Amino acid sequence: MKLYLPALTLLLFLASACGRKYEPIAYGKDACAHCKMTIMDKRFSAEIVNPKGRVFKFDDIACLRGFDIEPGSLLFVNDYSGKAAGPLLAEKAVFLHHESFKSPMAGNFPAFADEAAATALKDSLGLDFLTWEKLP
Amino acid sequence: MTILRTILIFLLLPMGLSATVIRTGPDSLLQHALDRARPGDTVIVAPGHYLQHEIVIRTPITLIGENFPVFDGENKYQLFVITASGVCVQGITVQNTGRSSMVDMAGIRLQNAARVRVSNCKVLNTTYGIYLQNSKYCVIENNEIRSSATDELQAGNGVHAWKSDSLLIRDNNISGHRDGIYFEFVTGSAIIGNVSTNNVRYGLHFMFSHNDGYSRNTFRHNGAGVAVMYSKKVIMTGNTFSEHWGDASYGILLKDISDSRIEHNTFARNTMGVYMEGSSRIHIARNTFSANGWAMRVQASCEGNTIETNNFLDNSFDVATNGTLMLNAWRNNYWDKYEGYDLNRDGTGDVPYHPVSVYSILSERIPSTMILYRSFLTNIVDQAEKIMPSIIPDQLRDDSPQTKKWKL
Repeated sequence: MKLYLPALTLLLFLASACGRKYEPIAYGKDACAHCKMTIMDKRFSAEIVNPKGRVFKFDDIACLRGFDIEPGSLLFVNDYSGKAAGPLLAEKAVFLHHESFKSPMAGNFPAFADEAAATALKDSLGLDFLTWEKLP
Repeated sequence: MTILRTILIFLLLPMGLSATVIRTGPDSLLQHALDRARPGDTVIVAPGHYLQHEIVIRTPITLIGENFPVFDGENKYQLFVITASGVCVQGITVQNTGRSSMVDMAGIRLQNAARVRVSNCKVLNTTYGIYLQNSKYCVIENNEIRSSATDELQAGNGVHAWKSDSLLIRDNNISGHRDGIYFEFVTGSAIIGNVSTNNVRYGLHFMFSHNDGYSRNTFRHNGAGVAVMYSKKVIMTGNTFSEHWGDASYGILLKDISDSRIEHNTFARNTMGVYMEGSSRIHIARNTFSANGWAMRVQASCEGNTIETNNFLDNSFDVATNGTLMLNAWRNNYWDKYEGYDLNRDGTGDVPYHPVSVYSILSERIPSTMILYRSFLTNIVDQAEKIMPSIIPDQLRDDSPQTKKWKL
């Protein structure tokens, strides 16, 4: 009996931690948690799932970065090219940065699944690849 | 008088002599006629259906359509690109532009141009209707800009202005886009007398645009009426905001705005009339708020705003806020929920009015309590709180509420 309770709590904790996942964004309905704009653009939308499982949705990666991110949160970004099957983890995605992308909040950071997906755009605009840590 | 006429004739004569009129029809390429034209010429386009696209106007000419000739982009191309200054386009129909994720396809695009006038045109079913890029002193007036944003994620804006200055957007009828009118990095411009309805996101949207104004416009049934964000010195007068219902729906959404004026507007039947966050030094006066869910929602991050001489009628909640600190001035408003008295009959109530009800505080913290709204218990709590305020922010009050409605 003594062992049950901690074991049960641990199990529940693990279950909730595993259960944390990307919640689909209702485009045209959900509002950005940071700038309050209605999220419309699939190419730049992003999401935070915090350690407790609470979901915050954003219309621009710049909004996500402006948000107070709890340590241990899952950070999702969407693939700019729309070719990836689902959302990408921000730490693993590849980014570009250029004014001509015109994202909703002028962050202008498109995200890509890997370097191959972004190469054409990178070359045509003469940019460098960026990672999550290196975003300006 | 005769001298004046002579001078006038002499002034006009050179123009009349040098300018020629070029006529063109569906059988010939308009681009050829445009390339042949010299500055000051007039190109008249005969009625018909033109399957021509990416038409570039490089010289300052006047393009007139007879009986709305139709330029069709076949859902693949963009139609007119104006790169010269001093161009005038009127009376044409452009329709069915393509959609692309990299290029913003537009019905009529102005690129690095000045003094361009687009008037009396029909822009139908386009991704971006009229697109102004790095343009100055342009006039967009009396156009019918309609689309049906069924694929709302790819939809563009009706009138889209980017990095422009001194524009006049007047008397257009815009519907069915993402944003009716969109301003990004646009300064010193005016938006007057437009009707913007049924747009998916906003009727009008400002981003990083300073010293602009919009007056006498009607915003109805959009995702939200107007969003003014990260801008300074925006003047908003005489507009009507109505029928904006939904979770993230506002008459006006103000986010990080300062030194602006909101006057003589009507907010009717919106989920929220005015939502403000991080905004300062805004003068909100002589507006009518009627039958909204929340007339105003003023977040605690706002300061130095003055809210005076407004009418608040039939709103479920007059004011909501998310903190106890209140650094704004509320005075001389008419509140239909005011139950005080006026013994000396000077038109000003003798006891202050607290526009934030207990329930608006409760629903701010626990949204699901709305289920008990308008119940008997709620009324008792409301009455008790009016006598002895404990939950409601007691700094947020109107010390001089009016007992008579303002005639606005």
